[in-house]
Amino acid sequence: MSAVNPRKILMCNARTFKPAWPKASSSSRFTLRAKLKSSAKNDCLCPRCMELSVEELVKTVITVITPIFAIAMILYTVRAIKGPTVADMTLAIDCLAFDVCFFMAVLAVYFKAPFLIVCSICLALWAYIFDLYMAKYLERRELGE
Amino acid sequence: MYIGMALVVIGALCDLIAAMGLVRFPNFFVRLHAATVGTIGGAVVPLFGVTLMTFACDFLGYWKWFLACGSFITAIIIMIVAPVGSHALARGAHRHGIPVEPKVCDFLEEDRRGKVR
Repeated sequence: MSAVNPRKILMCNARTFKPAWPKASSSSRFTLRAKLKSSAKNDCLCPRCMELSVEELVKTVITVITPIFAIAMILYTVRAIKGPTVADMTLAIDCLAFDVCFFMAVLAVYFKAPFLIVCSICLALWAYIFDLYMAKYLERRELGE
Repeated sequence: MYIGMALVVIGALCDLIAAMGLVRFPNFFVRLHAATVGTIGGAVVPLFGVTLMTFACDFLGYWKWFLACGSFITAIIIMIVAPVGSHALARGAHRHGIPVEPKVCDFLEEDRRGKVR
């Protein structure tokens, strides 16, 4: 029998926090509150029992961030398709490339695949070369032999 | 670690605003302003955030040093490279004659035509 932490008893067992709203139905399986609730071991919602580990916190932040970047990428693609001039399309693809570059770094943390950072460095340099190439074509109408 | 997460969230919002600006602005040269926000606020600042965030991620083991320093280098590369690229693009586009509509004043065009200002 390990020693029992008296503070834990005071917070958890004696005064268990239960929410006033009804129990989480199956449709709220995807809410953050329900996810935190399922990770609670004692069905207690006091702050001491609800602490997330670092890994869960990072994964939660990444799953919140991803839709925002997805919407931004879709809007960049809209401008890339719609742009009346070539320079507009170039600018949109430039921004898209740097965005994907950051997103790969985030995915490297999420999937624990450290090689993706090398790919993101390579993409950033590619976007630079792309801009210079298009600028040279626009200025002199030559295709860079 | 929390600073890193705050930087990532700020960068995501900056990127969304820049994307909305890129769609709605009327002109190529005005869209350059939105693209600046998109690359620097939307990719450099979040990469600094990822750097600070991965210093605290002990679940990665010893790969966290690789991820942190790699994303820091990527942030510095993008910080140097993106403005150079868009400057070159703007110069090429102006010389190519991309129309500046709606226009208030264009000093570069007047200078190139040799007008006395």
